[in-house]
Amino acid sequence: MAKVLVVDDDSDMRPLMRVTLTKLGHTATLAARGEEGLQLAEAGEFDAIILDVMMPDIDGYEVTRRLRANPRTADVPILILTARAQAADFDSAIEAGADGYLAKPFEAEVLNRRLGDLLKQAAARRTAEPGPGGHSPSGRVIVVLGLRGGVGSTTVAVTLAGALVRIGRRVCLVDLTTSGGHVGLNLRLAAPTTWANLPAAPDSTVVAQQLLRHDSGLLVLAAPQQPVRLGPPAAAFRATLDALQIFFTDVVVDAAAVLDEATWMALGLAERILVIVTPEVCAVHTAVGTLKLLDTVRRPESQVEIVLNHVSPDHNLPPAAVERALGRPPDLFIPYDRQQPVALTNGTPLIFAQPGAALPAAVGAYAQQLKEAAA
Amino acid sequence: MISSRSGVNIDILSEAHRISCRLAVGPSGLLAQLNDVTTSLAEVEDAYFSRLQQPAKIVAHFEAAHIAKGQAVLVVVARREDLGPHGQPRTGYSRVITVPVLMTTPQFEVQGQIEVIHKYDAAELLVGGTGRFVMVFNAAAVATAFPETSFSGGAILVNRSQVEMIAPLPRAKPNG
Repeated sequence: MAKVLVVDDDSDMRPLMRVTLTKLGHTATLAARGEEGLQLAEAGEFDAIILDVMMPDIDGYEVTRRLRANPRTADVPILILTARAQAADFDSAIEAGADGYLAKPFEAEVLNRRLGDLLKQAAARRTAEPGPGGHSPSGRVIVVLGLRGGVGSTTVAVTLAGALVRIGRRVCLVDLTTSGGHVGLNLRLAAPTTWANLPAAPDSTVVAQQLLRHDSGLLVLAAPQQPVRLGPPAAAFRATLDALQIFFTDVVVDAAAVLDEATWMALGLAERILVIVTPEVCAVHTAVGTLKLLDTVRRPESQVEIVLNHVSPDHNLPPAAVERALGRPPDLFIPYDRQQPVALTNGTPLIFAQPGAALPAAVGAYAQQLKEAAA
Repeated sequence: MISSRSGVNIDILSEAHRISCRLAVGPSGLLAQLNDVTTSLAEVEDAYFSRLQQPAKIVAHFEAAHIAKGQAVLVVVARREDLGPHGQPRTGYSRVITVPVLMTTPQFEVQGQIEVIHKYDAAELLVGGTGRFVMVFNAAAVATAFPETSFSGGAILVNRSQVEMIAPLPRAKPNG
């Protein structure tokens, strides 16, 4: 028996759906508007959502997008049920993040079959079996976040991903930034394919085709090399992360410095979130706000860790002042490393060129902790 | 079959828009209502309109609207039954022939099957009688200006006054 939320503005349809679903052994909760549906979905624990497209306040595509962007509802199977049944409507539903599509009018048996399929797929995702190569499909997502910008997030992300590779982890580094593909620049990877090439609903094969391989064995999902206005859509990025978690033990996400759809999605899925802060007033101020914000988006079991990163030899704020402002000590202290600008110029990250240098040594020790935590 | 409110859900395609709406029909059915030459307007409910270049994107919603029948180029229905009694297969002794056709209007290319009595007669189809629309069954329409945009249904009604060309298509040969 499944708990199903039905969102349909048709006052005749709603009781019909209740009767039909009850006969099929499910329980139905009804909403007459998109906004009401969103509120119920947020508040309740539903196994599936059946959603009309044509609704006066918010159409079903937009409702789907918002459900997918919300970590609390991102995984709930969504079946679009509508009288608009053209190919373009189907494409739009899938693009928005729906799992299935059924045209009105419909047979109860067809609804039962379609709903059953979606529930089975969702259950399979939750208890997924080992993926290719015997690796767990629930690879760990680690998000490196620096909303202040200029705090060295990409350096930390590249170094952490490299350190994890060096200790035998299967790692994919995802560059979610929209400002010009800096991971590719750090690693000197030409990026003929980026997340901008991903279709609306990529499967694991398509995702694998977009990855770039660094000589170290690190795989990279690159960002477009030119600045772009928006990151990938939440639904497409969710499907991408799902696929990457099948193949990799660790998916390190270099998040955008803005809270776009994809970054928000990644934060909701992350097991670890590394908030990067430098010892200067604006960065600390942003970090304080970021920590508060993360309480609303992260999974309860995810760990938020503060990384105090010294990107210059000058210290505006002493560590004690940073700790006081943040209300807790940093979890990782990265000293200034004069080799880092040289490594960036040379195109070989320090973690590969000089793993014993101050920066890679600090991040490497943290990577080792991550490996042990995973074991 | 589980369906929503009384009335028939239709997609009306004009030169530039797609209007998804519901038309309340009487016992004579949808086809008779649209072909009724004594009224130029059709009153529809729950109308969602989109532009043809983005046919899935809903631009606006109106609880009620009037459609100028003469400007409706195509009317798409999901199932033949939605047309009402006049859209059902003929019974009796008349020999009904199914002819695959291509019809063009300035905005669409429509491919499907028409049903004729005894023989195919383009003049009878396009200028005979008083009906405004001709029925094409199991039909698909492509928007000429946006070839990636297509519509299909159990039947498409084509506004006869907008038809530029009709041509019978060769019948598919059986395999082997």
